[in-house]
Amino acid sequence: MTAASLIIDRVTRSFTTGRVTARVLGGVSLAIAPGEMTLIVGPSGSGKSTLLAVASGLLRPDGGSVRALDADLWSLPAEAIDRFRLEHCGFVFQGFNLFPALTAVDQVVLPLQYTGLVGAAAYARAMEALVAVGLADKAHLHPLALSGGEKQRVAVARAIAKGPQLLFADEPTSALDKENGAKVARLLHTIARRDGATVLCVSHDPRLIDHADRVVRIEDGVLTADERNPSAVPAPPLAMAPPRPEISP
Amino acid sequence: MSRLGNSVSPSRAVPTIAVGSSDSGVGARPPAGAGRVSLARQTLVYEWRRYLAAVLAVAFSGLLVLVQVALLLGMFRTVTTVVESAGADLWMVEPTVSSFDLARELAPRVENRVRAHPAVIRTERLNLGFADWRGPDGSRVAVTLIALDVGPGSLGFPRSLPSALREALQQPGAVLVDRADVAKLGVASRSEGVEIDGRRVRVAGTVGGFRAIGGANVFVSEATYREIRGAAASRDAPHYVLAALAPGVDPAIVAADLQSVGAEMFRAMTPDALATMSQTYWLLESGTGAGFLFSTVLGLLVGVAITSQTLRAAVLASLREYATLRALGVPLRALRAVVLEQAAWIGAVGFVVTAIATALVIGAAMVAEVAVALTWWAVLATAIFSMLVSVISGLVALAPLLRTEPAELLR
Ligand SMILES: Nc1ncnc2c1ncn2[C@@H]1O[C@H](COP(=O)(O)OP(=O)(O)OP(=O)(O)O)[C@@H](O)[C@H]1O
Ligand SMILES: [Mg+2]
Repeated sequence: MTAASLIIDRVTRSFTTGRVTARVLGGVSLAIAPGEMTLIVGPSGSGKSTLLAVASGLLRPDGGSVRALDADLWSLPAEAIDRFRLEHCGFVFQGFNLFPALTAVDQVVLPLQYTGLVGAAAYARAMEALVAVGLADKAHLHPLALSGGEKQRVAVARAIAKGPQLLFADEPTSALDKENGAKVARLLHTIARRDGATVLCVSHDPRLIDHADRVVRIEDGVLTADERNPSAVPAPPLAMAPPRPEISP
Repeated sequence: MSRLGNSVSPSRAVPTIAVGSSDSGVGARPPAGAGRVSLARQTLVYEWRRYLAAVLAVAFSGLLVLVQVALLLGMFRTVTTVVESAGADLWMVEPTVSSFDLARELAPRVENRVRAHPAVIRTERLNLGFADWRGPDGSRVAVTLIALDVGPGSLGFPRSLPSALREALQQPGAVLVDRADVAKLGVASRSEGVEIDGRRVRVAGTVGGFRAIGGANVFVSEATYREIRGAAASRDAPHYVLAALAPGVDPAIVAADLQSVGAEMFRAMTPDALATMSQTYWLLESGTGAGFLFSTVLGLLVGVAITSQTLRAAVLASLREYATLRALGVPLRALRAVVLEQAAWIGAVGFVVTAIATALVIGAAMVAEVAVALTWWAVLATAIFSMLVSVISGLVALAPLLRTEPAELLR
């Protein structure tokens, strides 16, 4: 095994609504390796999204720690955590969360600009990402003119354009039909396999299991199973992307 | 193992693409000249309908302010139209006078003092007098007599009027009134049978642009003035002494010279200085300033209420998209800047609409002979006001953005 790139260590988190305090994460520990797609499954309300948010620097845990790419994430000041996510993290969510006013390529360029990449360079990078998700010919379209599956692929392009080492996806396929869901799942898997990214995906969608290298089960905020998936569907090459020399078979 | 080790690429490109090997898929090029994607501007353009209400709110509150200013300035300017349309380079003003219409008599020897200055080539006197007008139909109006030199080359006679009117005033008992006042003065159809302070006069013509706030302005010659005033005018003390200077002489320098010899008797002022002093006096003294301030604050509140609601609705509609940007590491201040940039554009566009609407309103007012006036500083102040409305609105609209944590929206 490779050294884990994301180490979640005894993380706890509770939510208080009114006078009721509910413990959502009850001391979760998990080490996640790069180059593969790890899927966290569990029933609704089991704490999957909460765990993903804690692991990705979006939600501060009550206890425990998260070690991401050798940084003790939650010991950093808030701006540094923002900076960390800007430099290393990509996100895909169930809702596609695209700005209605921007074309597909502009959706991808926008966050790139904040990394300091602007103008033609940002544009070229965004186009590469759109090519990778197979949407080069739709680059100029607004979300209104895209199907649900295409919107999610734009969202994936937005997440991967900066070449993140950590890619987080929360129910990325739940709003999609079977075929589009499979397409997005294959994309995420490919990014892990070919780019060596750490892909952490949470979902209750069983169709995703086929694409994951490792499946972790969470129930009521504690891990109950952790299995490798030897029958994972092999990751196909990215659309229109010539294989990188060092990883060609 | 080696596969993973190799593929963790330190360069943060999308590593799977060999750029340049084939550009068939990367056919699209950035639009010419488009350096940056501007979320603020592209959203404003794409969803302009959403922002229209905000633009109109800013525009109307700006219009409210600017039209009020124009009316106030127009009103106060009527006090000084005589000063601003006269041809004099300098006006000698009694030192305690605070506004042109509140004239006081100068010492009789002021005119000789002024004329003695080598740069002064001509002097004249000008008197203001309150009088009782009685129209042919018996109507009575309190009028202000403006008594001036009506000889050739007159400094006091308005440059905007034809010299035929000046010559008409040379007839004994001839007066000029403003076109806008003829009905009030009862001389719409007849010009004979008018009395001022019991003396018979005749309306020899009408002028435009000298409408007074109350009462009416009546131009007369010095001789007619003395005739009307009788003994009261015989003391030979003018209210103002007007001076023309040799060409190329700086009025400020001559004013300083004159001041040094007659400071206790008069102030030497340029027409601009006298006009500004008079208008400022009325702005501050009349109490209209407070009323204006009140309605301006009202306009500000209404503008902010509508504009902030519009912007807030837009922010709320995009909250998940903003949250996604936050997740991707875009700092909060960058998103704040997007909303404030939108607000600033709304302010700018709103002000342009204000400017156009104001031009139309003022044009209509001028056609209707309503006294309106605008100055560059009033326009600038309104532009700042519009920006204030929109930026305050933007700050108000930021609240939902600042309040929500991305994790809450992205579950
Ligand atoms: N901000 C919050 N305030 C209060 N309770 C919360 C908050 N966020 C999450 N919870 C609670 O924590 C529990 C776990 O939520 P979470 O979103 O992690 O579940 P999940 O496993 O992702 O469920 P699903 O599959 O439905 O998305 C839920 O019972 C939820 O009500
Ligand atoms: Mg969830």
